[in-house]
Amino acid sequence: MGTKVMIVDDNEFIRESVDILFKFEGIQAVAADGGEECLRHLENGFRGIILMDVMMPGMDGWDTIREIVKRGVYDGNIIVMLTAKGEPDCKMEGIQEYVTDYVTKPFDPMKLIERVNSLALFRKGMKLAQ
Amino acid sequence: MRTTTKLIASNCLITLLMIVVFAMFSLNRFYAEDLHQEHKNLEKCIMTFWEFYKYKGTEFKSVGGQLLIGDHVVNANFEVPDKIQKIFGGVATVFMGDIRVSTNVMDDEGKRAVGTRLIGPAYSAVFGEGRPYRGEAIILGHPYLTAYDPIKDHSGKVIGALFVGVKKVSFQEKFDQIKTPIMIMLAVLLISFAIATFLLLKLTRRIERTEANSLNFLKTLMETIPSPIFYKDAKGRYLGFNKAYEEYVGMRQEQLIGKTCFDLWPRDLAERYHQQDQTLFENQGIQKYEGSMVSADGARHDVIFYKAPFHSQQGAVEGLVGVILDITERKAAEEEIKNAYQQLNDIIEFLPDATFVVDKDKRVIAWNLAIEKMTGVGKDEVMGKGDYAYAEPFYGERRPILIDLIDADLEKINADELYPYIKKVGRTLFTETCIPSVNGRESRYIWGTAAPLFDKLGNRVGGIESMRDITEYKRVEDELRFRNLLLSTQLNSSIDGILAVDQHFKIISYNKRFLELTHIPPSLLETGLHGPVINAVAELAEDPQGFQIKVSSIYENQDTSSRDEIAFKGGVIIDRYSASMVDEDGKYYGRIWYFRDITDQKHAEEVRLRLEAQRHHSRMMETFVTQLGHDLKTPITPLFALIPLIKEKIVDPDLKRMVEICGKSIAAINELTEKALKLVKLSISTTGLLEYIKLAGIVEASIHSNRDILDQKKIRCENDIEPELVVVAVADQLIELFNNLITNAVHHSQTGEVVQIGARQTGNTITIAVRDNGIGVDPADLENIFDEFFKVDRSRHDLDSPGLGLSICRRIIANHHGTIWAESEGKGFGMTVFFTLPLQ
Repeated sequence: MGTKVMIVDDNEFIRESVDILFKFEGIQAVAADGGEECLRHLENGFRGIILMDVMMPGMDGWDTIREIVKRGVYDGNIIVMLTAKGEPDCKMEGIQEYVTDYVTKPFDPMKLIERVNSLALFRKGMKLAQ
Repeated sequence: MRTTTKLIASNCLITLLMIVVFAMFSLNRFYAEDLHQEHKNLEKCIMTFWEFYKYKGTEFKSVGGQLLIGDHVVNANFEVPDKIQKIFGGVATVFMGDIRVSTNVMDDEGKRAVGTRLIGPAYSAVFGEGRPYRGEAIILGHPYLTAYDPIKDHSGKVIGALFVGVKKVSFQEKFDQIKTPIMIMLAVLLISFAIATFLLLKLTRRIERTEANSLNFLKTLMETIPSPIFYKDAKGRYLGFNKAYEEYVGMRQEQLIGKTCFDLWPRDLAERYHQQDQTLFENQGIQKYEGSMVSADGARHDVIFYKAPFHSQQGAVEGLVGVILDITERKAAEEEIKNAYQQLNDIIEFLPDATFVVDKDKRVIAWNLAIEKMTGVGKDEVMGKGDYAYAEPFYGERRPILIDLIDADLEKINADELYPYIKKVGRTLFTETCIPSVNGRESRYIWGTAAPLFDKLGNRVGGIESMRDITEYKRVEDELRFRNLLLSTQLNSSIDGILAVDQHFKIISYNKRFLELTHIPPSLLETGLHGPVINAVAELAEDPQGFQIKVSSIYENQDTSSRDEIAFKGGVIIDRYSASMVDEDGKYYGRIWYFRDITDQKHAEEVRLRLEAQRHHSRMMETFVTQLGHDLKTPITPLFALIPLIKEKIVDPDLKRMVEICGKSIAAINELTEKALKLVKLSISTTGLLEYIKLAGIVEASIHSNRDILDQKKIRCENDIEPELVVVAVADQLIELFNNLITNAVHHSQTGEVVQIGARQTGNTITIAVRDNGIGVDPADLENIFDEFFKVDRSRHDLDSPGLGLSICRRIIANHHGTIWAESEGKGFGMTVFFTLPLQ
């Protein structure tokens, strides 16, 4: 399958493990250590599924989504938020529509792969629809 | 004495003198003629005397004491003198030297007066100068006309003289005969003249006196008249002036008389005067015109000239008299009156109140701007109109209004009901009335006043009426009344005790609450005395002196507002606020004191602050816990992701098992972390969004989410809750609650058992029960099972159950103000957890 995945997380281990997990499954993945790198990838042409950590120092997940929308690089992407249970979600107001799914940390790797695969199909369907 | 009198007198005198002179002249003529005749006779006589002697000889000679002619001896020879006497009747004498030698002049004894000597002027003339002498002489007591001629000898020497004398008696008798009647006639004439003259003089004098009197009178009159008066002759030369004129022009008579106006006055004025004078002479009568005069101060004054010509008795124009009336002041006064009138008009015109004035016939003579504005009726429409025209703009008809009631009887006015309210003060009427419509504006309240107008002499000359539209004022008054009511209601319904003090420290207002707070008797407050009241308030304070000092310092700074809290005796805390009453211009009217019992508030405030501190603490905790949760999960995440991969890759069963143990441990840590964080969060954050929730639906959702573990142990969970039952709760928390209870029940149940969930409504409370048939609990432990990390089986360290589930449940129910408890028959008899929720 051609769908690419981007993991945006400030934790190096999480980035790396997710990267290993996707490689293991044969899914092309890129990693970003924060909102800015994520935006850079998007501006360099990345389109695919973005796994976005919420709590990041500096620009957090919500801020990053706002910036993505603002810079007009949202189209063609699917955003999945990575949250820990009980994290405040007050900052998401007004941008829920840009978030397709939520995955709770820590996540079951198989379930994550399953989820990503189904979202990849969904994305293809959307592209066909367009 | 006047000229006429003089004339008459002199005429009389001259006539008289002429008569006398004529008479005398005539008489003298007579006399002279007669005398001439006498002298002629005398000359004839002496000639004859000489002739007689020439007959005797040619030459006289004196020889031997004897005077001889020829040979005729003269001495004592009386022949010739007697002959003369016979012819001429007179006397004749011959002197030898100065001695009479022949004469017929007799002495007193009747003898010839021979031998007497010649004396007197005749001697000097004859013997001194040798010439003849003629003259009168008294001879022997009778007057004689005499003639003496010298006798000269052949040598020319005077040797003697011839004398003849004619007695004057005859002539005088003749003269006296004529003279007497003439004299009598003259006397009569003189007397008549004298009488006539006397009478004439008397009459004249009387006329003169009368004239003088009337002249004096006229003169005085003229001098008395304060207006300058002058008179000129027909040629325009000034003849005279009165004093007023002199003063007016500042010149003396002498400087003026005989001059013409061209000599005295500026050209333009003089020409005007002259022209007017000419007109007057032509037209006669009395002339009056306004002109100018240069007065003593050099300024031109406005004057009126009154001029009239005067005539001689024959009717010819002799000149003119002029009277000058200085009207500068009058003009100024007129101007002043005009100005005053204009000012009055202006005042009325710009009076802020609608005003009109009528004359005594009730015709409108003033209709000011304000009334034009009020009625929409212009001056031009009403000025000069009578017959109640002024009522039309107000009532739409001509009817009597206030100004017409000035003279009416007040009692009757009230009876008339023209005005519901009317008052009279002096001559002025006041009223207040509602007029249905004025100038298209409905229901106008009009305040009006009317008064008669009088002139200086007290004559009624008209009336004046002023009106004011007080509709707005009425509305404001109503509003003010309402505001007052509002204020007093506010005052008395205020929770503050209020005390108002004016600038003179008099209590002007207080309210019910103030009495309640201070228990000061109203009688004391009614005295208005500030000191005793403040003292009474001070006595209530814990620190009366401090209160008094504070009050004084507040009064010292009029414009300050001040607020503080005062502790009253008995633990009462008073919020004392004071504000000064100062208007927009900064004028100080006093001060208002507010006293509010804030004891309860104070306590509430303390509680609130405590809560606030707690809330702040909670927020801090929440933030901390959230961060902690994230940070704990972050390292777990890679483990979660990687361990299954590792497990997959490992072939060795021992290693596989080791990695599996690692994975389970990680899961347990994750579970514990999650539950612990949940519990902490529920403890610190008690709030959440309360909703009406269908209880059965929540339970169904919870069963569904626990499907895995239920299926694992083949446990059936029965939802016996009535589907429509609604509770008020926070949905998330309610789901969490049921999750924990179901998990807990499943955990303690044997495979294939049943978990039952039911609800019972009692009043406003719902009691929910979750029953299992599991291992049950020792009744002694029932109270403890909701404690954190309580384990039913202490001997076993159960990794799957962190022992926080029921604690979380207790927390959630506490947040919903419900109660939670557990019942169990004992070990092996299962357990039922009950909890209550409010129905609404």
